[in-house]
Amino acid sequence: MILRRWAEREGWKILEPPPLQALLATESDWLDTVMTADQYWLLPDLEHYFLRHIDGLQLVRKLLDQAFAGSLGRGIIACNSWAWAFLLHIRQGYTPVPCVLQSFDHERLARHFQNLHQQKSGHYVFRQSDDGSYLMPLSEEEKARRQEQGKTVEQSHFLQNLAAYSQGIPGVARALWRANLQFQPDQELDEAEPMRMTTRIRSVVVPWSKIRYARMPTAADSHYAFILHSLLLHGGLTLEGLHALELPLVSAKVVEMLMDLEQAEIICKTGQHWQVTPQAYPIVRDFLAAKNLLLDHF
Amino acid sequence: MGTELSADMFKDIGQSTLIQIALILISSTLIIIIVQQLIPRLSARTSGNIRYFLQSLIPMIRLGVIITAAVMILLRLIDPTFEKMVALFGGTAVALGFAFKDYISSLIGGIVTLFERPYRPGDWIEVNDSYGQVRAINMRNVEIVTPDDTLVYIPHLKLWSEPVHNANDSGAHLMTVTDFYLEPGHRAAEVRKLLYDVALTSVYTQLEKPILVIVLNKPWATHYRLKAYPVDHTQQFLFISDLTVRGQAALEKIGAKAAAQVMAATQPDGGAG
Repeated sequence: MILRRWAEREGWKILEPPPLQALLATESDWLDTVMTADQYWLLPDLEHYFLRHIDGLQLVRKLLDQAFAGSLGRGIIACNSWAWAFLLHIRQGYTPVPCVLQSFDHERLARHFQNLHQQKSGHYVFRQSDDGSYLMPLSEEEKARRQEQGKTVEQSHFLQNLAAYSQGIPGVARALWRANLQFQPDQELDEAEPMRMTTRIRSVVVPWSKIRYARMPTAADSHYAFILHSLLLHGGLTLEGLHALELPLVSAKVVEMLMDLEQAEIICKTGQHWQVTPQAYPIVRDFLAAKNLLLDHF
Repeated sequence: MGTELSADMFKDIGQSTLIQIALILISSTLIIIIVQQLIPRLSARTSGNIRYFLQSLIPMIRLGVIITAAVMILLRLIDPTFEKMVALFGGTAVALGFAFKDYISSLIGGIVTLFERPYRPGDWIEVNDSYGQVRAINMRNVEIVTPDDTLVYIPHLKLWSEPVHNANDSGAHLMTVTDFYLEPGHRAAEVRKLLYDVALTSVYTQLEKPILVIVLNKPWATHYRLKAYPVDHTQQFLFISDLTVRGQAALEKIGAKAAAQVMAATQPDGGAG
């Protein structure tokens, strides 16, 4: 999204991924029809340029060979970390070291959430719902004022835990943050320190120990792992794309598993594409690691 | 004199001695049963090396309990003077030694197994054409479960004379080999790349381990050996099936024909590659 906006602003050509049939075609001149060496280009989603299928690797191999050899002109290729980990195995030869966006630590997350909420009306103050500790750093004046009034200035470790659990991925952190916001404090805190609505809108977050996680279905086995891994490798897939992978599952079973995972809020459907939900990403990653499947390197 | 020695060897066995012996037998049996029930349940909640370590404790604890119980019983039956012990064990050993030669050899083989560890519970081993996963290492034999879900008991005695092939040596990784035999008239380089991609695109493949395609020319066919590692060694047969089915389909698509007749291999391929 960031790269797309930047490329649009700079007037670069933004490439759209080929259709499924072009990915699986043995001889395809699709690449020749879209790539031109005379214009700067952005390929924002390399994960949509291959399928983990015997016939699904030719296009991406050709693309990467030509791109790294410089015969496609100047451009930027962006790829999700899971697809990149897989693509490193399909190429033998020179592969440049990728640039990666820095992960968000707790300080960056604090600024990110403050900016996010300041775009809406009001100035939000975030406190933990059980002990009233502050999630965002307090200014020195605010600290002094509260200390004079005998009120708590304790800082919560929620954002540190969130940064670690979400692996610094802002989208994952945001999804977990939103899922655990509430507008009423716990009863004990409300009685001890009533939060009155003022011009500064107050909001509370559940403590880390009570955070609401997504949970894998109890029946989740290695077949579920194959589906989830495929969705992450390809940055989301349609049902047709999943069937094209020739997973060792009958079609009806694939659909049944997708329904199971959707009900557990592990995956969701965006348009026609099934994707892992941001808040389920950490447990999906742990699940795939336990099944010894290839993980990304971040 | 010999009779007097034999008579004097044993203490007067009263009621209390019998009760003590019975208690020793009952408590050692209970300890063994508890260990055999508890440790598998504990190890099922763990994974990796901890699970294998816990499972390997069972035979060792059982051996220790049996030896301790035997010594405790013996001390209650005889006065442990040097002469009596020599007389007792000497006579008994000669008689039993001949009768239980193979059994004792298996028992000793079991003890050697505990220390040398040619295999451990969870390993996939092949002994005497029996291939399966080690389920338990008993006093006298090792239990393996074959891919056909058959339980095979192999005496530890076999260790002395038969080679033991251990496919994963308590590790998480186990290489599988999928064979393809093709008639001449195909492009070997193209087939080699194709089979590599067949393994690369299998959901069962452990991508962090190497994939190799070894090509050997036989008089009747070209033999391709696709070597790769599954993500879970319990899925090795599903993995081989997946590679075989998709590999055959891919080979047919490029016109490579399977050999009409496959001769039985007369010798191993020397582990090339």
